[in-house]
Amino acid sequence: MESHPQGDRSAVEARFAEVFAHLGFITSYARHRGARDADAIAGEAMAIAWRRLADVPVDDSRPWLINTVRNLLLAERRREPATGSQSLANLELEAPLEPLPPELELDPELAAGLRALSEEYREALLLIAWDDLTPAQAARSLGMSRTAFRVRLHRARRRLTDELAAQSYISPVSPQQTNWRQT
Amino acid sequence: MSNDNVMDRLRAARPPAAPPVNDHDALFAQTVAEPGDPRLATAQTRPARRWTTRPRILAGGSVGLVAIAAGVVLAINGSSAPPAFAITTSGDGSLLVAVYHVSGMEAAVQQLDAMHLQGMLDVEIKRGPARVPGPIKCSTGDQGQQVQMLLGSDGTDVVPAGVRGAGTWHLANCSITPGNRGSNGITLPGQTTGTTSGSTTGDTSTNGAG
Repeated sequence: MESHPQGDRSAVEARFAEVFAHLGFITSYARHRGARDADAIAGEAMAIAWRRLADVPVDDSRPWLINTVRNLLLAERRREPATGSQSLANLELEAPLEPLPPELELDPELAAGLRALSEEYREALLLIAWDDLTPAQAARSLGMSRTAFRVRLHRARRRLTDELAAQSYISPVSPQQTNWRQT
Repeated sequence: MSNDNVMDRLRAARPPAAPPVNDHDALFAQTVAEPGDPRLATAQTRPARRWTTRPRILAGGSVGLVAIAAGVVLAINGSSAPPAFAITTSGDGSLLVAVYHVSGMEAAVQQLDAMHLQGMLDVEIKRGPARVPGPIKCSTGDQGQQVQMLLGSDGTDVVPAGVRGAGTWHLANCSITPGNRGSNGITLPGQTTGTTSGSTTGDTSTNGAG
């Protein structure tokens, strides 16, 4: 960022402090989306926000920050091997990024349902359910209209419902079935 | 199950938030402070969480290595395992990182990280032999510490067939992005038994076991 006169600089830092208050939020976002080093990703996003503070919306910076973190995660994934069979992957390098990291310890059925969704659908659901964004904020973070986001969210919910129903159907012995057999 | 129930179930499964950032103020200072800002000195006295420093190797068409670089201390490794790398520092503070095999690259970067050198080191490894034998100079954006990297004995490492990572590899690129440096650019950690650092009379080395 360019140097500012002392008075201006204080104001700029105060403005940035408002953005920086979301550090924990974007760290969680990065972690829940499978970042290798969520702290580093969040820190990098904040450094970008500082350099481009004029571009960060004043009223609510979270969608802008999420968009930045998402781009950093995508960049990280692009540097991953396209397949697990490449020679370099045999050098005990880190495994490809997993959109839903196993350490989240999700309900297996729910995790399977989420993994079955496309990235677009999964992200739409998680922005609302995990990140507590409003549909308007989520739409901004994805660079799309509210209407388009609502359509996507609706379809994503329906798809996940179907996936969970299918998971339940193919589950060999559900707890309810067990109880029924016992009685 | 209705769509609303699905969202309720998803919300209930929300993972816990990231733990609170203890060194929030220090991280803020590191982000906004300019060189000479007294807040930087304060921030450095705290157990700072590093931002972009965790060493990592990313595989693909190329391999990226990221590490924080810093001072040099030299512990001769007592292990009987053959060394995977050697880091040599000259009296002028420049470093030569010799990685004997491509599989030792990660360990070398971890060692650099352990040295607390500051700046971000990016190394790109590609298939094929080196066009020009010998070490490559890591470009720096300022007059920071000079670092050279050498893969194999002459810039090329050949991993035999049947072994992990079989093929011919070379270092295609090496660069250092300056980070938050200490006051003199290099931090010399405490002495390690039987070793010296920053010698003005000769080179010292760090060897890493493979």
